Amino acid sequence: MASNTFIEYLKTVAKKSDVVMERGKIKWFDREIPRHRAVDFLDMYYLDGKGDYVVLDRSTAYEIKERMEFLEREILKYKKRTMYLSIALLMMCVIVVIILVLW
Amino acid sequence: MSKYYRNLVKKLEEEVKSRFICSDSVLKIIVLNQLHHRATTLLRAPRGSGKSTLMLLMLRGMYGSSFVVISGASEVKRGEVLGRLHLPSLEKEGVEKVVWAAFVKSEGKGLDEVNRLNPYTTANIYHMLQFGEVWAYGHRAKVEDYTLIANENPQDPTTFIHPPPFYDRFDVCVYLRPLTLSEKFALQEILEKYKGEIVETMPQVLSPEDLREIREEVEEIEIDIELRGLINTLVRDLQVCVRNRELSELKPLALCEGCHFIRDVCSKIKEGPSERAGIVLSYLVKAKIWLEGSCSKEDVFEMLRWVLPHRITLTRTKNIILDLKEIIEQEKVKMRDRESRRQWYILNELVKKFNRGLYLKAKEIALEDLVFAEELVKLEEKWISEKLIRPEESVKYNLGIEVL
Repeated sequence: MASNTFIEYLKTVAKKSDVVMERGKIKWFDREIPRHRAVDFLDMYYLDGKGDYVVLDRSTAYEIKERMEFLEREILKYKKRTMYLSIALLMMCVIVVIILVLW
Repeated sequence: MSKYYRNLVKKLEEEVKSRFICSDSVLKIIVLNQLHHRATTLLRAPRGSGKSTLMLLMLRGMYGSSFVVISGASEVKRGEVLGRLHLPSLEKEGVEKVVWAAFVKSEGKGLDEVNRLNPYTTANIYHMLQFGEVWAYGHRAKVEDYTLIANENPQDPTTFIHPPPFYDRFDVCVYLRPLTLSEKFALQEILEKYKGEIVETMPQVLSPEDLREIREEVEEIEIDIELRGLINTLVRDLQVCVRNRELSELKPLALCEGCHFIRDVCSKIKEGPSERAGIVLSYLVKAKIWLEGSCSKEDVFEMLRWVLPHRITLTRTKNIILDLKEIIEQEKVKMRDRESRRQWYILNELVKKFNRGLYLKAKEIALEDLVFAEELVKLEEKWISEKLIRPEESVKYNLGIEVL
């Protein structure tokens, strides 16, 4: 225990630790570090849970899969409608141009 | 001037790297280890993995062609390692004069196939490494600064088993592995580029004077107190045994039967590292700070991988490098636990003044950490003599720790 550098080391490390000494007792607060922590998918989605890894159970995964398939079908449906409407609009434009030319 | 020298060392690393394929971490540690006085490096690899080539490349990069290599594979005579009698002086004047061998005089020294060196040569080299001098025919020659790079394949059948203290004199022990598929292609490219003359084309990047200057500068580097703490704690962790295994006839695991610390790192170690491990780690940290401006705790753990293999005996060795990696990972967890327990803060408070509440906490910590317990036991001795605690409530009494 006599080594000065050892005492210096203890002092340096002690100074850096976030310990509070009150009436001969020590206390500190452990800060939760969200790194490398898993979070449930629903907690992440609805409760804004923080974590590096998102965990979801099988039923939630199937629900998400079905929802995505439904949305993809919807996208396809609206894509088709948009295409028909574009063609109709184009034809109308052509007709208007023809009428204007003939008139 | 430092910048100029740093660039030279980086150039040395680049020149070797352009001629030799190995992992960056291996080459880095070899280069770092050359930056302190009396640097000794041991390369271990299966035959044909390029350990002799790497040794020659490094020596050539630092000493040009002014280095001497002794090969354990050939017949090594005393006169070639140490010196021989000067016959004309003996015959004409009856005076025993010694002509010291080039190996003694040269700063750049290489040992090829160390495991095949005969025990007499090994003993002479050991003496040189230990005392910095050599003896022949009653004459002594002082050996100044040097660089010794050695290699061996411990699996070779003609192996002599050299004593552990001999290997302990090597600062680091680096393992090379056979090349992967893509690396084999890279090797062919290198051979084509240098027309097969990898070693012959290696330029001398540093002069012995440069190296001396660099080593002086590295020696002047101060290591941060926290890094020093980490180095010392690591080495002590690997040495400590509550049953003092170094003095025991029985060794772990037999010795560990019924021990409170059986799940700790100590139960995996049959013989711990010597104090040289800590000294070498300090050299490497200094070299790293000098060369790259900083050294992190993670760097120290990485260095430890190459400081330990030849100076530690494990209870069960499957693959020394992987086994050590596991132990080092365990050490990282231990260090984090120490931080989370704030144990050094508590010890610091106890060093200042006895506090029963803190002492009780420290006793709990001592059950988790033997290195901490040892320091607490030293304090307890003082407190017992001051009648602040009773002997039977002490950690020393309860754990049976005997700090000899």
